[in-house]
Amino acid sequence: MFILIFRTVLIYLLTILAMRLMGKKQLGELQPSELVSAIMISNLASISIETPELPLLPSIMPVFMIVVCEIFLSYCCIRSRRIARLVSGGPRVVIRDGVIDQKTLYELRFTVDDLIEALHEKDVFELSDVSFAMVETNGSLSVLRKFDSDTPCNRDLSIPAPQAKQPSLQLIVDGRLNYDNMRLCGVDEKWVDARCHKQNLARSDVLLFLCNDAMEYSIIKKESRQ
Amino acid sequence: MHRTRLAALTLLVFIAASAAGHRVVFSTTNQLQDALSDIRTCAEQSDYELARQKLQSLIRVYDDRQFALKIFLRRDTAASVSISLHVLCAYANKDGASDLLAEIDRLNEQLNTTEQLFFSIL
Repeated sequence: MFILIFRTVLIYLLTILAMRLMGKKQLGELQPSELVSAIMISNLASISIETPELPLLPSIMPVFMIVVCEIFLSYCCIRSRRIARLVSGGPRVVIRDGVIDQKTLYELRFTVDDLIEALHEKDVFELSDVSFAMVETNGSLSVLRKFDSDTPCNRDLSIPAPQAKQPSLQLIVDGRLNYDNMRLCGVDEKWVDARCHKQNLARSDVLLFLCNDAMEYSIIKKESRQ
Repeated sequence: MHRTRLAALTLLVFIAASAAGHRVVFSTTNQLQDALSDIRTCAEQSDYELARQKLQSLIRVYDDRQFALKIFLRRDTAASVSISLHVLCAYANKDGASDLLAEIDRLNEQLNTTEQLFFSIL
């Protein structure tokens, strides 16, 4: 049984090494160790299900060993930058000041088509609009646009800030009160019922009651089901 | 950090379970192999009655251990050893002497293979 633990850890580490060797292209949105965990857990769990003659303890133990490994590895990554770098690698800049870093692109085994496709996914259709672009450790591309082609924000347009500082919370969902959200908004049942009665509605007639911290509210009535 | 402690606890539990499994399988296979060696000696000395008694005692011991073994070994592996022991009983007589020795060798090899599968790394 010790061998089972040892083999699980060994195969886990070898699979991470294999994923690191494969590089960032294959990873999608997950970190290498997360992808390994997902793949291995699903395979191991299916083996446990498909092989009823295998006792439950030895068949389910590797699944939990993967979880244990993942937790310890993430803990070590938090504690040590070096380990984090070793496991997940680091982001690589592929576009700097609007110029494609072809050497990095080649090292990452990204084709230009891959780069253009990733830029399109970020709603960038002109290469000249890009100031910086980097490939993250999970294989995704992060883009910083040039100032001239960037979207202006409210501060740039001097738009005054709204009264509400928090998003609207659900006070009533399908006729039921959410007391936690009511507390966060600083309202009580009487206040909610009063607002409902203003629109000739009982609490049970309300599908959704939304309210923010500026006491701005909206009520959506239930539709008749006939 | 709560998860880390839980992971550490899980690991300790697995190590304890592995130690228990290690002990159960190792002690059972060793006991079986020692008993089979005795039975082989009885058969070679043509003392089939003693061989039969030892076999029946061995079957009782193995039946008690089987439940614990099935937690750690494949059920068909544990069951096949039980079947082999019962087959040996049928050969524990003068007419089945050569079959008895052959079956004892086969069972010994089966136990060696079970040990190898359970304890090997590669």
